[in-house]
Amino acid sequence: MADHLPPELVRLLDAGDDHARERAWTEFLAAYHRLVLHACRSRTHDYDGAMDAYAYVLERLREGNCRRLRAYAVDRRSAFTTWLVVVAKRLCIDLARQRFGRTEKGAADLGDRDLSRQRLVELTAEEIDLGTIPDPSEQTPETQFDAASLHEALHHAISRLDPQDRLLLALRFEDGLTAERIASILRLPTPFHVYRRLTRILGLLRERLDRQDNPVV
Amino acid sequence: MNSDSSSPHLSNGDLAAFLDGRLDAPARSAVEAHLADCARCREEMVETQMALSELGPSRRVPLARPNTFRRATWIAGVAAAILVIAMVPRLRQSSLAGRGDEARVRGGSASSSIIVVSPHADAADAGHLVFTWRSLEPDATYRLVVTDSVGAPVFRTTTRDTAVVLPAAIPVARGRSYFWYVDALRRGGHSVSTGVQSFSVPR
Repeated sequence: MADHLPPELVRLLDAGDDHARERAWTEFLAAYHRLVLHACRSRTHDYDGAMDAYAYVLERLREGNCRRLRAYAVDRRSAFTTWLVVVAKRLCIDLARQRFGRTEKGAADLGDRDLSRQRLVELTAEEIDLGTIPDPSEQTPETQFDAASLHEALHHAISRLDPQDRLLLALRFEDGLTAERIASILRLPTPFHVYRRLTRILGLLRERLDRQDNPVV
Repeated sequence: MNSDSSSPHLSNGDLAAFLDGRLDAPARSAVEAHLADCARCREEMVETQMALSELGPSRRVPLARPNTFRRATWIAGVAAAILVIAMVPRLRQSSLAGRGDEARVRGGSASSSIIVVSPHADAADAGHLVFTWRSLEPDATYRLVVTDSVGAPVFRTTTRDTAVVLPAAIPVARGRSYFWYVDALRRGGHSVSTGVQSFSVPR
């Protein structure tokens, strides 16, 4: 069901001349600047960077006769406040990528991601056949081939999971999120539901990998 | 999925509807499939979800919250302010005093927010803009930021006073709206704010 447009947004989008537009923009900011500022400040320790991002977001919201805000007026599948935080946060992340190549969080997490991915390989491979697990300390062509084969088989098995299970794996093993955070994103009742589901998915993956190793004749 | 035709990534509408739980099963599944494969959209989704979860379902931003920014930023700001204060002409300060003591409210009790005294939202004098607020506690350090109507900073300063005169060199256009706020560093290392205030300069 489409949400109602907030009155401040209606006045801004309907403003007929520069004076009315300026006035409507002031009203709009009075209603929503806190939300935008919160999106810019959230999860950053850089005060000046957050204020620069705030200025950048407001400029982008206003450009092209408020074309981004007009997009919400057409879409309206979410609450306006949710949509506004999505837009503000994405613009902040875009700005960080333009300036630094990646976000503050992304830079900190790169090492963790590699570890998490390796953990997924270990979790799915540990009960298949101990003899086939590549030993990282032995970098022979054979172990490299085994490792590559395992990654390829795992990738194939994951691609056959349903989308929510794939997303759960990505959030856990690519991004290293906590079970609590994943539960909140996927709307699962508790973190225990995440653990239970992970156990089921990993079991399914092991089963599929095992079947690939020992196909039924 | 309602992605922008020019972008391989999720549209803002898709992401917002996903986070609000407003998508039907096929659309939700399509968004989840994209998020599973696209690290970029997933990062944006996770960051946004965290920002939203800090607000709760009401989406109301607390008026004053403990400042999470590093104290080091403030220390650098205070150091910069010492230079700025030294450069502000004494003449400006004395002209402020001449306007009466009501513009320099001092000695207020410690509180969780800063009370604004001036300028009034619709009666700002373009030729003589004075920002004043009530003292939060003795020895508090205040940071004033003034932005134009799109949020671009036009003036920043840090002071231990409770009033700042906008330097004449800072242009303020008639008929335009501006925003300003003051953050105060408290002795415990936390800060509180006036929240964003606005004023318009009459034509």
